[in-house]
Order: sequence, then structure tokens, then C-alpha cells
Amino acid sequence: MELTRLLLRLSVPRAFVFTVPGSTAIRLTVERALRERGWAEALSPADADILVVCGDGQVAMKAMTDRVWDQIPSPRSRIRILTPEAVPAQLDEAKSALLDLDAMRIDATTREQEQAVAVESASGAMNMSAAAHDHAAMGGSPGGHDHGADHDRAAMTMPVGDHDHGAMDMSDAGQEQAPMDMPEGGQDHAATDMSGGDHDQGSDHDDMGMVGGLAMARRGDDRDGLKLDQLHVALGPVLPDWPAGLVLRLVLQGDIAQSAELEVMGENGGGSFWISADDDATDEARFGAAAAADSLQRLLAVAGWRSAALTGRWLRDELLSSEPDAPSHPRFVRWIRRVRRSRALRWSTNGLGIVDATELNKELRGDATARWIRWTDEILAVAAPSSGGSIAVGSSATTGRAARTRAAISLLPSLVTGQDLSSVRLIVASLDPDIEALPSQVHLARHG
Amino acid sequence: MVDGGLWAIPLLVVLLGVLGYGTAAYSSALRSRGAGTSWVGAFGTPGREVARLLLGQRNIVPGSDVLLARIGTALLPLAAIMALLVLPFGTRAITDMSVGVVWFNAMEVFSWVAVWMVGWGSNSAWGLIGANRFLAQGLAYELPQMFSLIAVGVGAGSLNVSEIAAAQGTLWYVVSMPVAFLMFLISAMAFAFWGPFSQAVASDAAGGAATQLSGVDRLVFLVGRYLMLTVASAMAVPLFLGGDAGPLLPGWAWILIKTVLLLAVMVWARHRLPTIRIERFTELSWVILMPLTLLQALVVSIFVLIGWM
Repeated sequence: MELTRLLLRLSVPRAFVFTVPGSTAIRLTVERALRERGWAEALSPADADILVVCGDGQVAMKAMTDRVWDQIPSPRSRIRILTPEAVPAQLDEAKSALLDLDAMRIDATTREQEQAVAVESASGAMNMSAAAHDHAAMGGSPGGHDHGADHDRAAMTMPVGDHDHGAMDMSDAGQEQAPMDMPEGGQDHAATDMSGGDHDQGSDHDDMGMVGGLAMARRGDDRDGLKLDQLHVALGPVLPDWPAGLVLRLVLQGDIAQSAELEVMGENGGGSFWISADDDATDEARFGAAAAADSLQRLLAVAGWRSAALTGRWLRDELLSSEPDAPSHPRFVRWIRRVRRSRALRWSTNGLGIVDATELNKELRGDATARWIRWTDEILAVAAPSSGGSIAVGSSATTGRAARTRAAISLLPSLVTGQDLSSVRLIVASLDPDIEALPSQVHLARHG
Repeated sequence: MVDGGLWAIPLLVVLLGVLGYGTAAYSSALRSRGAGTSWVGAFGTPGREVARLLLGQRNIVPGSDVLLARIGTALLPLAAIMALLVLPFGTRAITDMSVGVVWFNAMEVFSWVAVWMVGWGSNSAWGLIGANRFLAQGLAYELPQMFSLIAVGVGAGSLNVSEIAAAQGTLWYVVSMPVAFLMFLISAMAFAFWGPFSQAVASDAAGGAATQLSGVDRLVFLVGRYLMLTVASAMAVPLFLGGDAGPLLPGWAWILIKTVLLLAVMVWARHRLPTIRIERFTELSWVILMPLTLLQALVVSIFVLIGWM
């Protein structure tokens, strides 16, 4: 008991941050607070202790955060942050909630039982009736929890996208033997992309059968003329280092995206942080550089260069702060030069997502490398003006944001089709569409 | 200091653990410095992380192959400890077998199957992608690495690790076989999926093979990874850096110093380089590294034939 308490006190929590579109200001404050406290960010819910939800989403978002929450192992706590000012207090609160040993024990026991039920039902549900039966059993599982109906509860311990169909809704869908097409499964993909593994719901149950109560992937022709399993994986909106509100549904064979479909969760319409805050920013160039640094740190994180990404966040925070000289510190100039010189990074991003220059999207022209080099130009022009950062200061970084995002969104599906997953992520990061800059509409684009 | 004997095993494992902790601590110190926070506290970070993982609940995903994933997880530290058996510390290794290099190579290959089992067993698309990335990475680094080990074996005329260390005399193999040495360092980082070769657990795939690991499972996995990295660095010392050779200080101190230096190089590489995409690494490996290491083996063989080595 005492040992447990001691370990709890010693451990530094890891946060899993989920940003609702329209909450960039909160995300920036959270990221800054986490960096200053030395709390790492988890890559997946399984590695997290604290779920940090930035902003107030609508119903679909709430369901999603619940499902992420269910994938976080105990001891855990969750916070929903609604204003940037509340960040430090709420993080403290989350940390102290983790220290409440008795509450954590209850939570752990409850979660364990739910997990056991889910696993059992998954392995027991070898046919439709069994699945339906277990659905009922699940509703009666012991242990109180605060969200949703039985429907949700079953979904809760199902960390994998369409699995809730597999173990639960199979009772409805399966009996009809009607292939569910992907758009319908959409919400579920979106909610649980973190744990991946979406088994194809279009599969023919007679042929493929089930494993562990879950439908198996269906095969399809791939680009090389082979027959390979098709995995339906949605990237976003709950994914670290991913633009808030963007959902990219991929059909993967191996790790090659055979087709891509894009959806934007535009619930806010409140305007982009990088545009709206512009009015009261004294220095437009500096603000633009902060936006570029934010995009660049995200690309660096996706490229697997975590320490450079952290320095990028630090610089971004300094650019947004009011201290005039902080961003010109030699360490930042050194950092930006090192990134620019990195052959390994260029080698990774060269030739990815090539966009032909037209009037519509001239800021996106070139390949991923060209795009991130332009970000470094922008930052360098502010951090080290004397060293000849060669671009026009205050370029349309903020003004053309909506147009650029629209162009990026229309191009994305065709750019990522045929690429492997790491290229897909790099392409998205290099375009870095700012969903908040769009008016509140749902946009769809499809390719494949 | 160590002269064979079973009692040396726990001692060496502890030493390996200390080195691994140091590596993790140095890495997190560099990270803190880059993030603008105090690097002093960073030396306790790995310990705090252990405390966190010891308390964490184990994650069970419906439909996952729990047994497979757990065997894979445990295999990683076990393989590292088994590799340790042929490592000469002092004058002799714990089991100074005549085919020590082959044994080491066999143990190191276990990380292929370990990572793959963890990724596959997690029943997650991310895990699967990470696992398959690691297999591709294995295909890329393994052959050049074997050619560089062959060069070492041919040069020393033995596969016994102590004999290889002794055969280097005044000219260490790092000087006479630089390509092989470089390739060994690359492969050490690759089979410990470290730094530039960490695509198997990369952030672009939400943690890849390790996506679904939590609590003690993740702890064992990470410990295994650090042990792998440490044992690989320690192995480079007898193979390329003359083993315990060095002036003034006793032999074991030189082994420690050389190992620590190599570990520092690996941590540095992690912080200075982004992850190299598998696609690019495979290309590099088959088009450049493979011919170079073959050439290295050829040059060494010719030297041996004409009596220069």
C-alpha cells in the first residue's frame, strides 16, 4: 500500500491530448504547460495516464473522447479544458486525481471487469446469435460508470474501429447479411482510429468467417496485381501530431493506401486561431513565424525527430510570448539551421506530395521538402533577420490560410493515394491544413 | 575482473542495467535541454517512468493474441541477456564459446521475432504496420551486418569473441575495417529500433508495434530495448575497439569507457537525426551498404591471404 503510494507520487504522468477543432489556443497552452512540466505526451491511449480534451465538442466528439478514455489503462484521469487560462489548474487537478489511491483502485477493478467481459464476448461470439447474446450480457456487467447506454459500454472496451460492429452490432447487421459499407461505419472509424485495426465490414461473412468475434478483413486487388487484405483505417481526428478536425479514411493493403477519402469535422466556424488572433498581435511577421513553427514542429514529430520538434514548440511559444528578444536566442537560430541542413530529413520528405504551382495553391507548390523549407525561411526571417532570410516578411502566411487549406483539402486524397503510411503522414504534415480557417461546412473529397 | 563462472551472470546483468539506465537518463537529459526545461531532473526521469509503468494496468485488447504478445515482450530482454553470455569482460566471457559471434548474431535476430510478435499480437493496425516495418528493416540491415561480422571473423581467423579482441593487437579493426564498424553501429541501432531506425515504434504510426502496450508489458519491452542497445555497444568493443586494450587503466575500465562512449554516440544520433523511412533505408542498405560491406570482406580476405593481417 505504502509502496504503491510512493510509486504513484514518483511517477510523472503522460498526457494524451485531443484537440477539438476550434481550440488551437487551448492546445498551445496545454502543449506549453506539458513541455515546461516535463510531462511527455503519449502516442497512444494505452500509454497515457491523463486524457486532455482541449475544447468543447459536440455529441460526436463526446462519444469519441469517451472511447479514447476507455482505452486508457488505470490509474487515469481526464480533463476537459475550455479556456487557456484554466490549463495549469486543471493539469494540477488531473495529477492530484491520479494520487487518489482508493478511487484509482475502484476504477481499475471496474475497467478490468469490463475488459474481461469484452474479451470474453469477442472470443465467444463465433456466430451471430452468440454475439447478440453477449450484447445482452454486457449490459448487465457490474460496476458503475458515468457514460452512455449499454450501447456505449460495449463499444467502450472495444478499442478497435469497427469492432463494435464485430462484437456488438453484429447482432443486427449480421443477421441481415447485408454488407455494411464504409460510410456507415464512418463514425466508429473516426472515434477509434488510435488503436487502428479496422476490419473490413464489407466482408462476406460466409466466406471469411470470424476470428475472436471480429469480422476478418476482405481481400482485394492491389496495385501490383496481388490479392491482399484490405484494412480500413481512419487517420484522425484523435491522433497525435495531426491537424485538428481532419479525418482521412484510408483503405490500406499492407501499409499502402489504395484509396483515400477525406472528411472535415467543421463544427466551429469560429475562425482560425492563426487568423483571428492576428488583429491584436503587434507583429504580424512574428505571428506568422509562430504559425510556421507550429506546422514545422508537427512535421518534425511525424518525421520521428522528437527532440527537434520539442525545440520547435519552445520557439513557437517564445514567438507567441511578449518578450521581444527571446526568439533570436542563438539556440533557436542554431536549431533552425540544423533542421534546414538535415540531409536525412530532406531525404525522407523529398518527392512527397508534389503540387504543381497554380494561382490557387502557389503556397503549396513543390514537394514536402519545399514546403517545410519555406516554413524555416519564414521563421529565420524573424529569428535572425540579419542573416538574410530571403522571403518577404509577413507573407500571406495568415491571410491566405483559408484558401490554402481549401486547396490542400482538395489535393490531399489524390496526393496520398498509392503512398505508404509514413509518406501519407508526412504529406499531410507538410500541407498542414488549418481546418479552423474554413467556414463551418462538412467537406468531402474522395479518391481511389 | 570477471573470469568466467556463473556468478558473473547477475553481476553483468546488473552492470548492463546500469549502463542502460544511464543511456536512458542521458537521452532524456538531452531532450529536456532541447525542450527548455532543467536537465538536472532528467536523470531521474527513467526511474520515474519505471514507477509509472509498474503501476499501470495491463492492456488487453479484444481479439488480441495475448500469449503471443507477451512472449514477444519477454523475449526482448531475454535475448539481450543471452547475448551477454559471450561478451568478454576482463579476460574471458561467461561461456567463451568458439562460435561466439554466431551466438551473438542469433540472439540479436530474436528481436525480429519479438517485435513482430508484439505488433501482431496487439490486434491493431498500427501494431501490425510497426511489426511489418521491423521485418522490412531486418531484411535491410541483417545481410550487410553479417558481411561485416564475416570480415571481422576472417580478419581474426576465429569466431571466438575473446580471440577476436586479442587478435587486434596494435591495429584495432575500427581502423582496418571502418566500413564494417560503421555497419555494425547502424545495425546495433536497427535491432534495438533506436533513433533513426525506430520506424517500428515510430510516432507516425502512433507507437507502431508498441501501440497497445501498457504497464509492466511496456516496461519489459522498453527494458529489453535498452538492454539490446547496451549489449550491442558492449559487443562492438571486443569486435572493433580492441577489447580491453588501453594504457594505464585496468582492462575492465577500458571496456567500460569504450562502451559508454559508443552509447553516447547512439544517444547523440537519436537526437540529431530524424527517423529514416524504411523505404529509404532499404534502398540505402541494398544499393550502398551491401556492396560496401562485401567489398570490405573481400579486402580483408585478400589481406589475410597475402599475410598482412
